[in-house]
Amino acid sequence: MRRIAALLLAAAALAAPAAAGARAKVQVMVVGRARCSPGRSAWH
Amino acid sequence: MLAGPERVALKPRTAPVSGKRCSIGRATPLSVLAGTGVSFRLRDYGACSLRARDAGSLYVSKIGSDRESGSDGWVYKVGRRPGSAGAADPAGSFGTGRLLRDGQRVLWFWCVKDPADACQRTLETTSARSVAPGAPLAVTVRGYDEAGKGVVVAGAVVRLGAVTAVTGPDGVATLTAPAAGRYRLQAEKPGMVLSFPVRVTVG
Repeated sequence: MRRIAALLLAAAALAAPAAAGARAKVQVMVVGRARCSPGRSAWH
Repeated sequence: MLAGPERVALKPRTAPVSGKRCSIGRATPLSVLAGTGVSFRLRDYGACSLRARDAGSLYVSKIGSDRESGSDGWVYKVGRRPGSAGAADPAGSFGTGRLLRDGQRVLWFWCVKDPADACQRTLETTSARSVAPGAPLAVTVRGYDEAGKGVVVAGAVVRLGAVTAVTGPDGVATLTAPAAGRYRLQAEKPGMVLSFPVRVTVG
């Protein structure tokens, strides 16, 4: 019984980071040509 | 804006490449681009397959209706730094083995090369995240180059909801906070890439 409990705990410990990874998100923005047209004088 | 700003989950995805389907690793800028749902086209300079580790030589040639043209085309930044590796490189955006992490910002933008072969700077705002109604809110705008190095930007338009102000020579614009509520703060300037919006609470 103890061995089964230990195995379950070990499995849970392994699953926790995986679940956290599955929830990971980043913020993204895609800016196209129309919003990036340069006035050459505006560089830098 | 072709997509976003939005939050996209880091997960494995696939994309069509020259008539076949290729896997893209979960924590890569290309997977994030695919997660936005925007249409894009890839070229493969390697041998992509259903194994994500073969995706390192994928190249984004078109997003939406914007197709690469001459030296102009699509690039990405993670935070302030442009990636130095392919967007689906299993070794990460900078070839260091570090993949994208929760909470990071990924910016895809149309790069127009200047005479020095550099893309335009990308803008970022710095300010307090909360302010009282009617109070002044100082916002500093910096533009980041391809080394991730920032300079203050004069003449940028800063918006907080419907309120706008223009940055001075020190890169600072001072806005008067509107009525209580939550607003998006964003900066833009012709010839540079607009900033990610940040939330500011007035109240």
